[in-house]
Amino acid sequence: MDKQSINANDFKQEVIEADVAIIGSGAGGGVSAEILAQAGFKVLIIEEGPYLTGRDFKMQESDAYPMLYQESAARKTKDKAINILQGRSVGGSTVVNWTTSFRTPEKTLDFWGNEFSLKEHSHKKMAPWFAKMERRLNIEPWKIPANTNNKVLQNGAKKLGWHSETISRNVKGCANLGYCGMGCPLNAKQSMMVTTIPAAKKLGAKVLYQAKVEKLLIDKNKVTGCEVIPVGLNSKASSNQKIKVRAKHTILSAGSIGSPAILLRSKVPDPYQRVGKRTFLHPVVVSAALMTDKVNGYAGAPQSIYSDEFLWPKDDSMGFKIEAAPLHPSLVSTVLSQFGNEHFKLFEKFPYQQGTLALLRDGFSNNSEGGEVALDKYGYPKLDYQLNDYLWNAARKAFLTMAELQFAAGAKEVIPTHLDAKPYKSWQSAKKAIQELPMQKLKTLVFSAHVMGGNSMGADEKISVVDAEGKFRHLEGLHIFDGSIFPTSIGANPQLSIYGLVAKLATNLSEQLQV
Amino acid sequence: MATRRQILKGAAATSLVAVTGVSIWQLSLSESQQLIEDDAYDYQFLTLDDRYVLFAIIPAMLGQALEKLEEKDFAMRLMQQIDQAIDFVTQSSQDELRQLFDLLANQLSRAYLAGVWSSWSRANVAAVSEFLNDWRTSFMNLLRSGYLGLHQIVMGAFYAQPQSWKAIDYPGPPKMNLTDSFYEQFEL
Repeated sequence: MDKQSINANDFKQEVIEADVAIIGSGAGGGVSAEILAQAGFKVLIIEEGPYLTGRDFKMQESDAYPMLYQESAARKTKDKAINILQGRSVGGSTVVNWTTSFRTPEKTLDFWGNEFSLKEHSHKKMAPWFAKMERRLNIEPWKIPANTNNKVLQNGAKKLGWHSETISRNVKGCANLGYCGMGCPLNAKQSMMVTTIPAAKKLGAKVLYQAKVEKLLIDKNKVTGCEVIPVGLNSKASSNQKIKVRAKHTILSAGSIGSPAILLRSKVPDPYQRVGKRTFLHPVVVSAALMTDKVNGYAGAPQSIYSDEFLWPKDDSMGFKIEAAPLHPSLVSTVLSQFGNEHFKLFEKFPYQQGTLALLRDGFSNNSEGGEVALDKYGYPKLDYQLNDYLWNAARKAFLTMAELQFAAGAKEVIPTHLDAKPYKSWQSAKKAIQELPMQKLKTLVFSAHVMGGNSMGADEKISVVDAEGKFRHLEGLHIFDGSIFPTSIGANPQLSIYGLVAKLATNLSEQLQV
Repeated sequence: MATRRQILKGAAATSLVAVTGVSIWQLSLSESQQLIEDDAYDYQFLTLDDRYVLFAIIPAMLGQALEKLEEKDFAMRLMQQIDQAIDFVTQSSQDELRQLFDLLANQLSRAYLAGVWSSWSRANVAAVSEFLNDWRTSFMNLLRSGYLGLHQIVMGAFYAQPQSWKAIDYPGPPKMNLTDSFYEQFEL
């Protein structure tokens, strides 16, 4: 590894200095690092996970889940009802995401403007920032024909007269392998690890990795840096050593579970008890189908087609976005909740399976206030997210919709991911059964790959943690630039929403700071 | 009076030999016990008792998927994969898993003592299956979450291993043969 990348375990000094310390190297931290380095600041990026690159990625779930995902890809909400997929190496979740890129929907930005007085981030004002990041990360509609897994979705939507469209992806030189979730071995995915972070390093930025930020250093009412603990590959402290990072300014970009956790551990002033509140997940339910011909759902761009037919319902119910679920053996084996021969009977037809998922747009109703991040007795964050009837109604509708779509596309069998579900052989029988399935936690399997909110942005200090510029309300010297400042979920895969908003906010900050 | 360890040993070996057509799980009782005990891998979380528990549960959890396996040390690699996955979860999740494994050890040894597993026969896989099904269909959130946790640990580790792929007709990732010079273009 180059000289600017420092494993915290090898760093023997007590203090490291920078103009700007950036905590976290995912979508928010990566974009911030490049912009502030370009503005001439001495940047230090701090990342808890390991520094791995294309060379290290072998397209094996056995390595990828422990090394590249939080808690071996088995991070869960407090009651274990929702399994959360979240990245953890240099580049964060941008290293393992499926490259699906959407601008923040206009309706979402309108909602923020109306409900949180965030008019300065309107659709019109955000457009140039999304365009900038689309150019930076080579985001464009996928031109290669969709793989069969996505084609099923497209065919079903077409048959039923539902909306469907091609997804844009952040790739350059993509060979359509389909292993995005295990890290791209070709460095074709334009993650932070191959784009903004190397660019920031060329301008002098340093990366301190396997470095867990225990807490912010606070002097009177100003953040002056942070305290770092070197950790092993398992994210646990590897010694008693502590490193002090001294910085003129600190940017918190540790994501929607990590950022609130650092604020809570630092006991920052929080007069209205807003830190960690309104954390959103895009709760996901999955429907598996058995097709007549091979699907090979592991091969080809994981997501290239989507349907927004049900994203913005006319009534007050929770909308959902429909996408394909790429299929790799380890992950799929855990999603099919049967065991023994019953499990094997489903799974021996692995190449014939098709996966469809619905991500539910949480946070847009008084009935959807999200979850809350709190610390456990070891100081680790746990997200308490309660699934209520308002959400379950949407989940049931999503199961019905996905089954209808899969049968319309020619599925022989459909099985919703629910402990009481059986494989259903027709739309009629599936419909009848799904209407009866008890929508209950730990019976209905629920997943999330998009953790958002927790440090809400807003104009009213009583309901927000940061202002419209991302500045932490109750201390100087601290901005929060990541998905945690979203006041609701996005209603689409969030990476481009983070890139665009952070590009805008970090540029604004770089103009205010003095070198 | 048999210790819990001895009982677990018996229970584990029992289900190992119970499934037909399975190589590792077909080894003689003493051989399979020896394999578990001689495993020199530096386990971070799984104790010897935990590994006996897993050995008792794995054949019931995986069913016919085990039948296609040929390698003798595969079971050990599965344990190691499970151990690594658990090593990477947080301390509080590890505390919960410790409780889960202790509960399982007690349940299995009690069932064994109560004569649910009367003989070293196929019936023992059926008994473990029944127990798994009780948890899976329980009205208690805690037991269902225990089932789902165990399911995720065992299935996830098993199907991450290339040895399991033939049976599900998965060819594995493409071979890339990328050279150093390919990667140098991305580096500083």
